[in-house]
Amino acid sequence: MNPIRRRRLLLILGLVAGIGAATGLALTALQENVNHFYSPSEVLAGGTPEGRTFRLGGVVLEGSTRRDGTSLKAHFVVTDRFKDLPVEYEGILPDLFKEGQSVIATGALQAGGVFVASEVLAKHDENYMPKEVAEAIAKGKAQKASQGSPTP
Amino acid sequence: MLAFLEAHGHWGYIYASLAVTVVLVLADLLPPWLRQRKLQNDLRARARREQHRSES
Amino acid sequence: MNPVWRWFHQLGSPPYFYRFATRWMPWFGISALLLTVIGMYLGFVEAPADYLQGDSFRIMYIHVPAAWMSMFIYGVMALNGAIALIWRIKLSELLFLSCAPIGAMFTAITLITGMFWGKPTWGAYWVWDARLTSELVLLFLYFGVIGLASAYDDLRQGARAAAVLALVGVVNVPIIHFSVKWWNTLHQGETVRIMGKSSIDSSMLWPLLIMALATKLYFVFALLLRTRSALAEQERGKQWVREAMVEAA
Repeated sequence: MNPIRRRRLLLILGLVAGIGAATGLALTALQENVNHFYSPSEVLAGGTPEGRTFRLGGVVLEGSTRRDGTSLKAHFVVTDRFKDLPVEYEGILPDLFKEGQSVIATGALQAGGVFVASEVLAKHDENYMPKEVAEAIAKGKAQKASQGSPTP
Repeated sequence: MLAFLEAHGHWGYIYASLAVTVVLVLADLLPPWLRQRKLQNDLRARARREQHRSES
Repeated sequence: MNPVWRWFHQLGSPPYFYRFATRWMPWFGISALLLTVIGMYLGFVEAPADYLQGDSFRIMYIHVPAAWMSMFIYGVMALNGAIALIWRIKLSELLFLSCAPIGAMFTAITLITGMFWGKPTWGAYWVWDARLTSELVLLFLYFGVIGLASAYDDLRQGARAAAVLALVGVVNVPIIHFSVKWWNTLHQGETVRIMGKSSIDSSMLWPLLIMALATKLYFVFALLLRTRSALAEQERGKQWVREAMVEAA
């Protein structure tokens, strides 16, 4: 390679490396702000200011959903399997809102420790399978559980 | 337009996705194809003119 | 010189590339079309509905291959941009310029089909999470490359200026890819893994892989189509262009 071309190559590599390093540093500094949501543990540890809007993400705790008979108000508990946080929401929940599935709720923490959401989105995971397979897996799990799951 | 889409369930979104994809692919392929044809026509027309001149 | 290098050098010569593109383009186009038809049929008709998302998950047979291509084409474009800057090869400049609109198209498809997928699954067309935002930045990078290149009267000068922008933007590609790992995003993690097990049933995976191959072939087809006509336009006064265009008819 002749010296001019080598100089251009090194210049380009330097440029890309420099921009990469700068972006990496900026993103590390912004880490908190790039995150789209907080988990219940982070919220309860005091990571978010009271009364200010933020997003809460986690799994809807099984058996926690309660709907008011007269209004669209729904109560449920969001958990990250370590800490739980009660959520209150008035509106239509997305189709994929199910217990045991992930959601992301936008809202604010009220004084009583209840998260009042203005928007609830369903977060789906990276697993895709036909209905039959999902049922077979659920059946297998139930069978294992009824056998008292003998762990060797 | 969005209300229309939402009224048709999952297949509404699927057909909308397919339609957008087809339009964008055509928008990607047509311009270079037309450019090629135009250039080809120009060059052929010039070649014909030159041939005509040399014959007369 | 070993034969691969010799072939590369030959390919760099405009008349050779023009003949090469003319000969191979139809094959890439036809196989891409064929695989698309097969992949679409398998994905949209044969594949079973997802246990949770129902039919809307089928949008992934467009969305996911388009997303892969949006990043892959950026890589090819940046590589050609680097070659154009270092070696000043004319053909690399044209390949570089031809990549940008194709990549922009795939990025636009990714974003729009993603919105049509997001509404029924998440409940929103758009959220500003790291994955969606970085993909939108990719679209703007493509637009930036196209715009900057066309701002110069001299095609070659414009290509080189745009190549610098494209190389600066390379940093965005790993950000898109790893965004779902590095940060909490609404967008789910990766499903298809090269290393390890994919978290998708095989009946649903095959159409996806076929579509991925089809989009790759389409890209080669579209790239040859664009570069060929750009090359002929640039060299229109030359004898070989007249021979290729007038006498081939």
